[in-house]
Amino acid sequence: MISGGLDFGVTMGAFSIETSRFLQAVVEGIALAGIYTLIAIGFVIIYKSTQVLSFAQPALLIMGAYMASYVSITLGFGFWVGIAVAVVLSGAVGYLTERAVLRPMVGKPVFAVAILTIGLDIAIRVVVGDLIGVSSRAIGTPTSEGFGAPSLPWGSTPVRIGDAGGLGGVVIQPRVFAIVFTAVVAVGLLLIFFNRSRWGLAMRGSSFDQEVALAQGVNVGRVASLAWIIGGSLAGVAGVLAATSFTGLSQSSFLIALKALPVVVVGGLDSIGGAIAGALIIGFSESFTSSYQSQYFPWLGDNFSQVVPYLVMVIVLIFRPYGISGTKDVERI
Amino acid sequence: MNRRSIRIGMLITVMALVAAACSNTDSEDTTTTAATAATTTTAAAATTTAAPAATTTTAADAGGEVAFDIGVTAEPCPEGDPDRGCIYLGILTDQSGPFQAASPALVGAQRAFWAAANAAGGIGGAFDVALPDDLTKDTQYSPEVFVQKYNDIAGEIAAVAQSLGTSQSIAALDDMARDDTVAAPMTWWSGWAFDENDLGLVIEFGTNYCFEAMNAFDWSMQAVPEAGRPTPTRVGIMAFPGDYGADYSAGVKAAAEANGVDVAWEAVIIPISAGGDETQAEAIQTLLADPVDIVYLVTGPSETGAIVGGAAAQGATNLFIGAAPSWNVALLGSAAAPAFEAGLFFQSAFVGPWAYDSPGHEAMRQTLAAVGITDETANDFFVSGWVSQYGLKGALDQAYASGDLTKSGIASAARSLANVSYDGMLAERSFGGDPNSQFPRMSLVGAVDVTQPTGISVVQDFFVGPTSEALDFTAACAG
Repeated sequence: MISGGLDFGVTMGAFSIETSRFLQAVVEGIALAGIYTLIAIGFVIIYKSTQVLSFAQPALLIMGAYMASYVSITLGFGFWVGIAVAVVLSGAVGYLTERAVLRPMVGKPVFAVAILTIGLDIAIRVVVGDLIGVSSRAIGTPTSEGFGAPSLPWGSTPVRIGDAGGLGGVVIQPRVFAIVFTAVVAVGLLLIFFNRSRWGLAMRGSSFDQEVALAQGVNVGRVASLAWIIGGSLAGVAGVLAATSFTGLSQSSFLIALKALPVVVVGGLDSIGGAIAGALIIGFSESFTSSYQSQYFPWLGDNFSQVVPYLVMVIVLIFRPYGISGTKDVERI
Repeated sequence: MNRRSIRIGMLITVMALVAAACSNTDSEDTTTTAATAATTTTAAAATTTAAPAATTTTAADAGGEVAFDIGVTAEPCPEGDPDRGCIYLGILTDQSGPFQAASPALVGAQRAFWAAANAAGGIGGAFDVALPDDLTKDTQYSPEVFVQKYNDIAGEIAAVAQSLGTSQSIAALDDMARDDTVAAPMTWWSGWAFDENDLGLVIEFGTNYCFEAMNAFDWSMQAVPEAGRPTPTRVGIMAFPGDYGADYSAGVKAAAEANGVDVAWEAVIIPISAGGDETQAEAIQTLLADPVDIVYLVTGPSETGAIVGGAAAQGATNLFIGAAPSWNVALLGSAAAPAFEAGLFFQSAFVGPWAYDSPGHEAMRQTLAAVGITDETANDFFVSGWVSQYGLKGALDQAYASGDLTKSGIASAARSLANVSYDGMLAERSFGGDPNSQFPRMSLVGAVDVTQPTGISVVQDFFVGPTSEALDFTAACAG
């Protein structure tokens, strides 16, 4: 009954404990940054297109993850169908949110609209929390069944680099590869969309000046809907990826989306490049604090890594209120 | 900076503060249970009165005059037997704090227990017991809110069927003593064994965290070498702050000292639901930097998954022994499943898991099946909820038998309860005597078993280890 441990899929090289620790923090930081990037880009797209600060992203995230779990595990359709449904439904809820709740608020004060998205967030999360229930849920793993896709169990065959035979070495979970791959592909597709497609151009024009875009025949209303569809879908994908963690999907899973706020503030509210930079800064800040704070700054107390994103945000707000890449508004007086 | 940017900056700062605060409580995430209740009564008939209430009497069907006051009515329970009176119990649970996920199962099992008890004749064949929704309160796992919620229902209840949280329950003890309100705790603090701590009002069940830890430790000193691993010489502790972590950790440290084992380090784990790191990277680094033979986990299931899965993935091969609340079968569906299936994790427990073979477990499974809880949907919180009510039922039975179902009568019965049977779920026990000779010290150890409904099978049935057996139990282990 008492046995050894995990078998590792791939091992190579040899690192010292300290090198391993440093590189492990890099890996963890990249994984966090990948998820933060997906959430933050959705946030930025919605803000750029509609000037709405969406605090509903945590709800869209956990709802997407729940739908993926339900379709994949409960209904038994498998991971790939689950994630497809998560993307579609999260986008659909984003669309409905925009059409039914936010469209009537056009022209209302920014505070009122933001508060409205907080209300939506709470309402959706309460419902999804009930659906998730008592236990945490599995999200499913990609298998070769059905779609001929490669089998990729999230936690069973990690790649280990630099194993010296003991605890040294860097471990890269399959989920990290999946997160990085998904984030890169999503960003790439969005860049192509914004630069090459008609609707992408319309969204860029609309984000620059809605009245001019309207004058040029752009349907600004549809642009706003599309922004919410993209933002919702990205949150749903981020939720699925977040739920591949060792803790699975639980009622607390939405908490990771709260860190999209410091990410977009650090990167700049209206910059996709800034969102990526912000995600990397916040992700690395968090992972390196987790790895080293207790050794070098133990007086900061336990769990300080969870405070760091907000600390970084406050510092950036003080010295660079528009973030790293945010547009500095110029107002003629 | 223009005005709009200033407004947005201010809004973001305020929202960040709100978000950080909300992440600690999740107060909006009120959950409901699939196991809602067999007793879905709605409104308490008792009127709220300022204590002391006038005592009234009625002729009980089972014979004799029975005095009763607050929380007991001659009128039937809503949807209860029309020929019986009604005893109303309150529930002080956590529906929006760190134990919100456990609450529906705990409450559902308690209601199912009383539904079964009512069907079997209730209290003396003369009273049904009801746990209505409007007397079930969310304490948010906050001592202040707990006291407030207790006082909200104090004038309508005969007793508290669930008092969740040690510090929360302690905060309300003076008020409960004022009202002579007894309570079944959902906390296993070692201090409840002593009248100076619980004022004779808390009807605890099962052993406490401290003895549970001692027994698990003693078991490991024998079982680990027998399994071909080196005898443990160094252990670590990862524990939540607060009574749960402190009491279990005290047991581990006492057993370590008794066995000549070094406790290399203790790491504080902040619950993920309270904003803790979901990767638990800091705790894992502590383990990797200073490996030990066994890590004792005094956490919740999410933290267990992150720690065991993360540490094993990074090459840790030590064993983990978790306190009872640290496990949930859902972990077998998480990315950490390979680590659990590899046999690295064991669970100490005060009661057998859902599938355990005892008459009480069988009755629980049958009753809960009627409200849709089966092997596929069960978890071990249902067991805790169910078994928690035997002592309270014993107190009500005894109070009724003595003809005094007043608050003070129930409290007197609770202080002198003898030979309470738990239908084989726990060993029979009595209350009110010397804790050193009377308090139960037995616990179990389980191992991960994917074939079991709740993922755990017992590898060591009820036993008392040498450390807990030798302890002169004259005070709480911690707190």
